[in-house]
Amino acid sequence: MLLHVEDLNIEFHDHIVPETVVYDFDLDMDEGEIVGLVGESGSGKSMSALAIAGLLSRHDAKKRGSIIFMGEDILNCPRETLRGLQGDEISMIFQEPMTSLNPVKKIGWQVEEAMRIHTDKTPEERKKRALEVLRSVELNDPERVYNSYPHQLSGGMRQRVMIAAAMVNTPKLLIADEPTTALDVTVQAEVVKLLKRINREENTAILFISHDLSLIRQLCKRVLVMKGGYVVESGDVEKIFVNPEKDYTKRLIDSIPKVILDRD
Amino acid sequence: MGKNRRYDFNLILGSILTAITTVPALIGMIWTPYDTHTMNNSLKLAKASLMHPFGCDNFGRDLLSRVMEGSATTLLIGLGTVFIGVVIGTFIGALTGYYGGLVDDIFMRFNDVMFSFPSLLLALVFVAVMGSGKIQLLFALGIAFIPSYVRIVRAEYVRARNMDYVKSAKLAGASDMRVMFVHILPNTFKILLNSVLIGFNNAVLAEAGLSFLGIGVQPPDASLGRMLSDAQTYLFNRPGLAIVPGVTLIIMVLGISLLGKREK
Repeated sequence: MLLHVEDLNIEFHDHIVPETVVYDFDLDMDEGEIVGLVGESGSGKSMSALAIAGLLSRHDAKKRGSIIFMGEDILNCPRETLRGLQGDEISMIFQEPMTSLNPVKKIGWQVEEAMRIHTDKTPEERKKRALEVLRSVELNDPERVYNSYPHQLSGGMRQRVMIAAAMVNTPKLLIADEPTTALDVTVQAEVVKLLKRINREENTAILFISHDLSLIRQLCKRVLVMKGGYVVESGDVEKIFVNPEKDYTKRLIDSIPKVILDRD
Repeated sequence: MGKNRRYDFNLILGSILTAITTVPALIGMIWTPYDTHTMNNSLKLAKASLMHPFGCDNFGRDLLSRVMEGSATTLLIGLGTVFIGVVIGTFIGALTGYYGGLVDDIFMRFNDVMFSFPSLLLALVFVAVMGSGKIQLLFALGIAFIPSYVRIVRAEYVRARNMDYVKSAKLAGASDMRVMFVHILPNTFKILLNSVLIGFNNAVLAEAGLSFLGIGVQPPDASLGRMLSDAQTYLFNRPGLAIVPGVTLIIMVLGISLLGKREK
């Protein structure tokens, strides 16, 4: 078992009345598994992901339950332990490729950051690995990208760079928080294909968050459907597609646009 | 770098004016045409001549040499003040902006108190406590200038704190210090540069003001403010004594302001 989440509750205390955004979230993931997490905006999917990545700062969110990742308790372990895992065993990519790269640093520097922190590779070894990983995310001219600034790249390229930076230490778990939402459809398909390949080649487990059920269906075997902070349905993707138990899931499936062919 | 780059008038004129004042000042730090402290009764209030292009002051000291030394002193105090303000201001601003919460509240309320005094008055108080002199003036102005930099830097860090690239950096396992000073800090340079230039001008003017009042640089040392103060008595029979340091001061401040106003 790679990841075991049990009874995760997340509460925010930054208003007068505490606000719970995630209720009793359970999730188990094995190594090399791809799990989908689907739901509308505000359903708590991103919050759960941030908590798993250890990114919810400790003072403004209260968390109950347990998140065990590779035997470490993410919610209660010392920060040092958490930092040791982040970037090495857990990585995350975000929705907006425009803001998730530092605008004033070169791509190469940013891709190498996790190596600089977690390994004692020499600069030459780091560069070699960075170019290798940039090539593996199917960027055409890794040398050029390595020496570019984020604003010189397109959205799709930046998202690939993000994936490269996340994969540089070959983590066990990659959390993808709506990685395709800001991209156009053709690029979406390529990124999904890329994630699939990474999963197959590196045996990295992927927690794929999206509000797009059709993408989830392409990528994942297992899916969790969230609404209003609750997991309303979970299980095999195909089963849920064919026979959704909950009304909400049904409506979610119906909302996938279908191509109408009878134009006559 | 476009070929049709427009000439930036502010930048060019600013550079020229700054060079006109800083180059003689820099030379004045190591060499002046005449000794600046030796008095000569026969040259008392001498008119401009080939030997003494700006004439001599009431003690028969060469005015050109005095202005060179004086602008060097003023320049150094301006730079030192900005340096103290920026370094300490950036550090405090980064901590409060990045962490937020109670630390932020305490520092910012203290900052507000400091802010509620005009910085010149604040410097006056420091000088009154620490005594007058070059070094004291430098520290007094430096401390008085810290709050404004804290404000500017803090605002940048508050904005950056929730950016995805900061989340990515944390997720790479970077420590708080690394996130603050390696990842975020370069992003503040653009805004910091302008406030450094404005701050430098304010510091130069504050030095001149305090020295004029007789609590800054002490005789026989020269500074532009000190020289203006000394020239008061001879304003009607030898206006050049006031005009030369005064115009130097104006050119110095104007040049830097133009640099700060350069087109984006």
